[in-house]
Formats: sequence, structure tokens, C-alpha cells
Amino acid sequence: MKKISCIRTMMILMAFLLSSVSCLRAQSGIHYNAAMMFVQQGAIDSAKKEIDLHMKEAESQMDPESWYLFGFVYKELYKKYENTNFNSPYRIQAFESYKKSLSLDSNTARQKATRDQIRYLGGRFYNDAVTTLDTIRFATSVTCYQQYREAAMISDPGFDIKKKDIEFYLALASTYDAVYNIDKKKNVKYFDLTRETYLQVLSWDANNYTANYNLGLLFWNKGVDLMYDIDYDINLDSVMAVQNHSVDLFKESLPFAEKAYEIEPKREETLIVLSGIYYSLNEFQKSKAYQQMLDDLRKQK
Amino acid sequence: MKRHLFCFVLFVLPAVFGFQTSPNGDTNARLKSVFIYNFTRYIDWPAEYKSGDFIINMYGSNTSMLSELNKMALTKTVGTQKIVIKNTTTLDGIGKCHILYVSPEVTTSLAEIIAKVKGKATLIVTEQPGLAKKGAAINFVVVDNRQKFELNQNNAAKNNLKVSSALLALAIPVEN
Repeated sequence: MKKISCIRTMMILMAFLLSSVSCLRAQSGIHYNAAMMFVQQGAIDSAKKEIDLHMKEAESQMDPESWYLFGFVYKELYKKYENTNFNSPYRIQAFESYKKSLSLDSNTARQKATRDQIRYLGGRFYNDAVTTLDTIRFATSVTCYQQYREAAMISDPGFDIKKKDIEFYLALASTYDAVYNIDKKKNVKYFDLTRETYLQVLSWDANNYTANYNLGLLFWNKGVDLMYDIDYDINLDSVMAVQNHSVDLFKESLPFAEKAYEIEPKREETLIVLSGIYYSLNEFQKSKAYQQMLDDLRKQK
Repeated sequence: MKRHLFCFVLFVLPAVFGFQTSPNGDTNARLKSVFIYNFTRYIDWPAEYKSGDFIINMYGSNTSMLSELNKMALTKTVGTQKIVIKNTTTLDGIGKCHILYVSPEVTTSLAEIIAKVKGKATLIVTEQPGLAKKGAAINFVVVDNRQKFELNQNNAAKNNLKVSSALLALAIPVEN
């Protein structure tokens, strides 16, 4: 396995070197050459010392090859030492170095090699974004996703990122909602984050069923929660005020639920929600009509 | 070929992203039970009704309403009186009670129900259009998607119940 990895490293470097203007450098490239030699030998820690020294030289700062090798060494360090660190500084340094290399480079073949490296890092960022998308680590997930997004756009400028954005933001909204539901009073700001995240999805795709359905459900749930949180001992004025707030939320939920129904009229959960919202709005005929549709749909199955 | 060296399997976001759960319970029943509890604070029963259990009888088979009333009785009292929830589906099952909630599916005429509680200090609470004019003291109605209540002070007074002005101010007043 280690041998395969070593061969792969060599092939990547060879591809890069073939596209480089010069393989070996003169006096000013002592540390560069040493770093390259250590990389070829698989001595990545020694390579780091040399490339760090090389990058301190003024002319290295404007040299795409130097930045590429710097990125390569740090990517290997990431793989060796920080493979399971979602916030790996080595990985971030590698990514920044490849970006810098690309920004300075005019060699098409080398640019392609750099983009391939960025694509690799992008894949790692994406996987970490998925892995950390839970109620504890979601902030890390968002950071990783933003890095993936940037990497994807750089490595494949024509890539349609919107589909991935929608997929990720739907999952993120669902995670925010889960955080909110852990403690609705303490985590009230996650209600807003859930709403904003679904609305973001709808700004990209107004006909997204999941975002519409879940926004409808989110507002309905909130209205119901308010009703159930009414303390029996509060005065009737306050009861009326809570009811007004709930009704506003039910009305806010309705267009989203109706849109979801318009998109997918044969989904049971949409009919359940619509029947429920109308019931909460005391519009019993409409509630019954959706309930009837639900019953008919179930009979057809 | 080189490109494939860098490709590896991307994880898949969970397909379940999305579907939250519908709320449980009946908000309308919940709200009405809150209203009913509040009525006990704004209405004065005769002295002989201020000891023993405070009985709320539900006439009908509205399980949501019965469930909410029972939940309320578990934690609340009326002064020192324990709240007891009763349920009947027959006219004969209506005994002495402080509040009689008549569920909207009940088809018995209100006149018959009133006759059953005649001479008793029972607050009759209904939920059908026009019943506050036909003998109910309080009738739940829907106005602008909101649960409100009509109050007929004369009908309450007929059953020896005193309604506070605060409750009147919040109600939709109805006269015979």
C-alpha cells in the first residue's frame, strides 16, 4: 500500500516536472532542489525544512513552481499527520499555495497539474464537510464546504456548483433544525438559521420541494409550539396575543406548503401538513379536503 | 489518466435531509382548554359550589378536547378545588357540574341540555354558530382564523353565575 502511494507521488511529481521549464535550479534554488530530492525519496519532513527555507527567498514569492512544490509538500504533510484533522493547517497551507501558484502561472500543462491537486484537496474538504455535518460540528462543516466550493470552482471552472450548494444547504438547514429542536428556548437562533438556510435554497431554486415543504412545516411547528407553551395562568389578553402570533406563523407556513403540494401533489406528508395547517387556522372544510385527498391517495397504494 | 489519480469517492450527504416531523396534538383543543381554565378565574360560582371538586363535564366524544382537559386537570386547580374531568355521551350522563362543555358533534338540542342543568350553577360552553343566543353562556366561534368566544351574560346570570367585566371586555358580547 505504501509502495503504491510512493509510486503515485512520484507520478504526480513527474507530471509536474515534465511541465516545468527547468527541473533543476541554479544557486538560488538550492533549497528547492533539496526539497524536490527529499520528496522523491519520500522524506517529507526533510522536504518541509528545505521548502520552508526556499520560500523565505524573495524570488520564490513570484515563482509558480515554488508555490506548487510548497503546496505539494504541505499536502503530503497533511496526509501524513493531519489526515483526520478537519481543520488541518497543513491542508489549508497546501490549498493556499496551489492557489498562489495558479495565480502566477502561465504554463497550461502545469496549471492543469495544479488544478488536479486542488481537485484532490476539494474532495477531502467535501468529505469532511459531510462527516462533520451534525449538531455539534456543523460550523466546521460549513468551513470545509466553503473550502470545497472554492476548490471545485478553481479546479473545474465550468462546474455547476449550484446542485451541490442546494444539496449541502438542505442538509445544513436540517442540521440547524435538529439543533433548534434539542432545546427550542435556548437554541431559538437556530430557528432563524434554519429558515434563512431554506430561503437561501429557494433563492437558487424556487421549485425545490424539500425546502418548500420544510419551511411550511417549520412555521407550522413553531405556531403549534407557541400554542402548547401557553401557561394556563397567563391572562386572556396574553393568550389572545399568543394566538395572534401563532396564526401569523400558520399563515406564513401556508404558501410554502401549498407550493410543495403544487410541485409534488402525491406526497402524503404534504397533504398531512396542509390539512394540519388549515386545521390550525380553523379552516375545517379545507383541512378535511386535504385529509380526503390523503385518504384517497392511501387507498390507491 | 492523471486526473483519476486524484479522484476518490465523495461521501454522500444523508438522503434524509429534510423531512421534519409534524407536530402532535390539537392546537384548537389546547387553546379551548386554556380558555376554559381562564373562565374559572373570571366567573364567580355560588358559595355552595366553592367546595369539593370542581367538575368539568364534557358532553360528546371529542377525544382531543377530553385529552387536553385531562392534561389541564393534572396540574391546575380552581382555588383549593381539585379539577375533575367527566365525560358523557348521553343526555342522562349530565349531572351536577361547574362547567358543561358541549362538543360540536353533539346533535342533542341545546334546549334539552339546558333543561338537564336547570337550577344548577353550570356554565354551558358550546361551539356552534348561534348557540349563545339559544341559551349557552359561552360559545366558541372562529373569527379571522382565530378562536374567540361569544358571551351571553344573561344566560350566565340565569344559572347564578357572575361574569367579571374583564371577561366581558375580551368576549364578543351576545344578547338574547
